[in-house]
Amino acid sequence: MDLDLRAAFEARIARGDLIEAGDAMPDGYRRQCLRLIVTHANSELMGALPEREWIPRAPGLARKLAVLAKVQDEIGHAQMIYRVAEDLAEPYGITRADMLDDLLAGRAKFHNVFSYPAPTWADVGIIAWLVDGAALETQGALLRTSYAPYARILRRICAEEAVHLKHGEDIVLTLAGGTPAQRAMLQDALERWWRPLLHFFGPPGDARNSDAFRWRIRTAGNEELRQGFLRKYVPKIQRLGLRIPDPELRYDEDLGRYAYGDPDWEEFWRVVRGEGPRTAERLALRRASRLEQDWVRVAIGGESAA
Amino acid sequence: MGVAVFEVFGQEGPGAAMRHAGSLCAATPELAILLAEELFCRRSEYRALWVVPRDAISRAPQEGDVLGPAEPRGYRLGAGYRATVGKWRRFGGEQLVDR
Amino acid sequence: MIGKGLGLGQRAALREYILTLADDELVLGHRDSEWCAFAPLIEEDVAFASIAQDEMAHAALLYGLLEEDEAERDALAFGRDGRGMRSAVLLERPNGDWAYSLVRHHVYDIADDLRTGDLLESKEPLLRAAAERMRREERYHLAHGRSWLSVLAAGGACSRERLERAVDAVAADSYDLLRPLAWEGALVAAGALPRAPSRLWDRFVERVGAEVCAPLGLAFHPPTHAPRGREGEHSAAMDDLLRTMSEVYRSDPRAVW
Repeated sequence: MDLDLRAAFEARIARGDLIEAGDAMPDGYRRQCLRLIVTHANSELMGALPEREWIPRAPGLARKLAVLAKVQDEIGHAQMIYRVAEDLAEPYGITRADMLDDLLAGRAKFHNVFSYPAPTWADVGIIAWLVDGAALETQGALLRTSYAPYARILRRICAEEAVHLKHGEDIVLTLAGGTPAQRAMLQDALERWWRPLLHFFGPPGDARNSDAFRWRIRTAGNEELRQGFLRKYVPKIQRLGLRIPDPELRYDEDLGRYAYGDPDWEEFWRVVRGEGPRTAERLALRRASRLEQDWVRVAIGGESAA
Repeated sequence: MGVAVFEVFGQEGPGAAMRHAGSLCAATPELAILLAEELFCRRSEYRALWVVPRDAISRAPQEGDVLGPAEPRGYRLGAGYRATVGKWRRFGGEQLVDR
Repeated sequence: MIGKGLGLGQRAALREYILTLADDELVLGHRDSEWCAFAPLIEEDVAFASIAQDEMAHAALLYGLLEEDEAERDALAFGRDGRGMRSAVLLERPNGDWAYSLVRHHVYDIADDLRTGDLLESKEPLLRAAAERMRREERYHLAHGRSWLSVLAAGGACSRERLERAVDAVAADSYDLLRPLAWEGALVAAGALPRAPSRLWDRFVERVGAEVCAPLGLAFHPPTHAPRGREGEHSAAMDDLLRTMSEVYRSDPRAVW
């Protein structure tokens, strides 16, 4: 893209303009947006897997329907986000099938948090409350992104995530006020999810002068988002009498922020590289299912994945 | 037959205009309508839905921020008739001007 | 309170029938929900999840006619073993491929359409109201099934072969859906139904023939066996299903979840 057009684009960004799919844009902007958007879509799809295991096992009709509805929403989000990604990727000729190929071959990223196991019913509550809470934190900030088609669907996504939050909170409150076995299950789930939750926001120190920020693709930094999450949820978790598995976690009045123990960023990078506890298994499951259903896509005249 | 992109439009309330709700892929218009209900109307957001194959949509060619005439057409806007204020003054009737 | 003014025998028959309808919806809804996150298209995943929710919500509505308390309703849904379940054996079969699941669901929807159509003429206002609510959502299910079946029928040799296999398998199990039952007469005498559900069989065969078989150039082969799901005789698949479904619930049935 020549210098004049690039300067014109950056002037638009500086003015607070919103960019539409058909607008002229630097290749770098298109690629950065795509990476962010596709990672989000992949995450919604992979996020459905730990939770859908509990639909058949939900301990009541109302819970069964609610978990099914939540997973349905996540898949609906994936659908909307892949559509936005496809439109943005049109000049490259990349389709949703290509994006799914990349994901299932382990070439594309999705949020670490969806590589962890969900072995108990309490995990369902913790995920719906705290993981969705974390997602709402980052997605709330992304509502101000410069890429308009993404901002538009994020409004709907955030509204639905807010309901998921209530659903998760309800499960957690019920377990917290339940039998000793239920409370123990909840405490155990919190202890397993705490580090992945801190990892969710990424390591601190992300470059605020990077293209993603200059072009207003992102508007909030990793630590800022993590602090927002801690401010919202630590008091609530503590009020429930649950123990957060970090002896160094405390609110620093002077700094006006939470201090916390090192969450093991080595583990974070391992999982990013695809070595999460359930990464390989879940990708394999999706690959197998995709192959099994390929005949349907062929029958309706869609793209074969085989 | 083949999977195509459909644009979805919905009407939120009585008398409201059809608004673009999003897009989806489907094999037929019938399935597109059924899927549109599911994807965009799970919480009864719309009272009416249209689906249109994206291929059927024509786009106006666009250069710059707005569409429409390049030269200003004052005669199409109320602001183009500010001179009437002065003309009323001749009759001592400035206070009768509609603003 | 449902069945007010009915004799003991008639009220027992009514309870059996409602349990039959509710168990059908619960088991099918549960099977449908197993497709969640693995349907052939992302859009379809969302659509089929709604269908699954509708069926289970109908089950909840129907159990609710027998037990007002939510905990008691869950005990009905999650607390019985195979011998206590009244659902048709067709519905507990594992999902198989997409063709099987679609054909099974659509054939069931045809039977259900006929059953709930009769419920609209029930002297029981609660049953009429329930039927009206369920039929609003079933209209969508029927349209969805019809669309998919015609798309798959036109989808080439491989697709047609799978559909044919599915139709054969589903037809063979279908007698369970509208089999004559011992207490049918009592339901009609009570005015709960205008006619015995088994009288709907011929119309059912007609519709399945026209909507499912004919587009494939097939005929509806009358089933040669009569499973007894309504009497609590179920397959091993039902044991698996119930074990999974009640796993957390049974860990403490007195707890609030």
